Amino acid sequence: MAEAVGILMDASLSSEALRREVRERLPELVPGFRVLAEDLLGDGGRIEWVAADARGGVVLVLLGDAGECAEAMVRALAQAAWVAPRIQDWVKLAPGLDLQPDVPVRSVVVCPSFAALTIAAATALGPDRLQLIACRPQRPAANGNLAFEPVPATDAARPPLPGVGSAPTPTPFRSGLTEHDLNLSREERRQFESR
Amino acid sequence: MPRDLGDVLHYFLPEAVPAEEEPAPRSPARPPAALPLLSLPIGDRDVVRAAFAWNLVVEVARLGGRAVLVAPGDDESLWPDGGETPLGAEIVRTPCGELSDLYHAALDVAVSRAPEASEGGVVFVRIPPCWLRKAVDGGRLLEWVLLFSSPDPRDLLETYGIAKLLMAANPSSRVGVTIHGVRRHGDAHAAFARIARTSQQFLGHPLVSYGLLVDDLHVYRAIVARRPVGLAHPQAPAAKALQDVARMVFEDAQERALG
Repeated sequence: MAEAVGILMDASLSSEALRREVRERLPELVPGFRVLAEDLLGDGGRIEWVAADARGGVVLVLLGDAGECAEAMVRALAQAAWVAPRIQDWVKLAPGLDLQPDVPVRSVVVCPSFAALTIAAATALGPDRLQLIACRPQRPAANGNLAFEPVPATDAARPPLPGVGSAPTPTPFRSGLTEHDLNLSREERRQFESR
Repeated sequence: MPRDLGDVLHYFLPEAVPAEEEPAPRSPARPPAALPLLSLPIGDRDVVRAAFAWNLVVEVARLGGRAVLVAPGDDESLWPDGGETPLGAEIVRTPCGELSDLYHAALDVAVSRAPEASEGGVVFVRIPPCWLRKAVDGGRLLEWVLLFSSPDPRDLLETYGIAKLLMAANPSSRVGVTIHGVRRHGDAHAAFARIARTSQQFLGHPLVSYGLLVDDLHVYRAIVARRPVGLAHPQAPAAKALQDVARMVFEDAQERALG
């Protein structure tokens, strides 16, 4: 897989071994992760893995080389946009996949590291759309050759909207403001508690 | 008066509702004394909303308007390099730390660029949302505001909350909302209706719809390439949606121009 070459500084790990280990370790990071297809030809390029998560949502996994995190992020988002209108057809062709077309497509990008701007863009989009995972060699090797770390580690899941009677979450919105800044009442928040 | 999303329905149903020929924007008999200011609260790292804003600036320029983006000087990562860019659209960075300073800087631009605006124009002003927490000294900058929101409930909650801050700072604020990240007209309509209904119920204040923006792969490619979608992929659905929203903004601007 050409895109995976160079992802590791450890030359002893072949690209095929790398892909194998990434594939084996992904279920640890994506609940209910099950691979549907590998090396799917998407829009102008290959998608390393097309998978489903516990909710039946489609998850795309793309690998990126060191220094190409932004490009990998763009490829991931572009491929998600390409996949989204096709899910209905996939459900018709293969109803046994148990996919939920209404669940937004999520992209997972695996790279050795991510630039601050890439992390900022991913934060702005939210973990429901884009998840970044840093993948680095472990020395000495333990539980495999690679260490996986979601980026940012504290942003693994978007906090749910608060229910009735609960205190407002301090997690900022995309604007950087918090619910405390917006001074929203419980009744106002309730208007947006579900789709 | 709230705008009807049917203004952009033709984009989704070209066969059922053929696109009507849009009337040409009203050309003012003479340039205005000052261009209208349209404020956009955009977070320091919100590259997606910043990209939408910049693309609207370019599209207003394409329509023949004088289009300038004024931004505080510490947000270089959000925009292309300053100066003149495609189609004469312009970015002006101004060092300022609060809303009132930003207002005066934007007003200077609005006055200085007005003589060049025989077809009208808009000065887009990026506001750091955290400045809205103490907005009493910059209410004049909040006369006309545009917010971007996806249909995600948390985004809608945030947009409503910002609208609430705006109206507290300036009760006569005209707050517009553009829904982005949708693939169906119905999703955009439902999202706008939800937030507009809440605004009317709790704030007694209507919101104005400024259409919808389509979320397609060209948007993200254009973001990384730092090229406007309308120039990089003019036939893309995202480009057409941007053009529609820009037309709404430009037409409103011509009615709001001073002098």
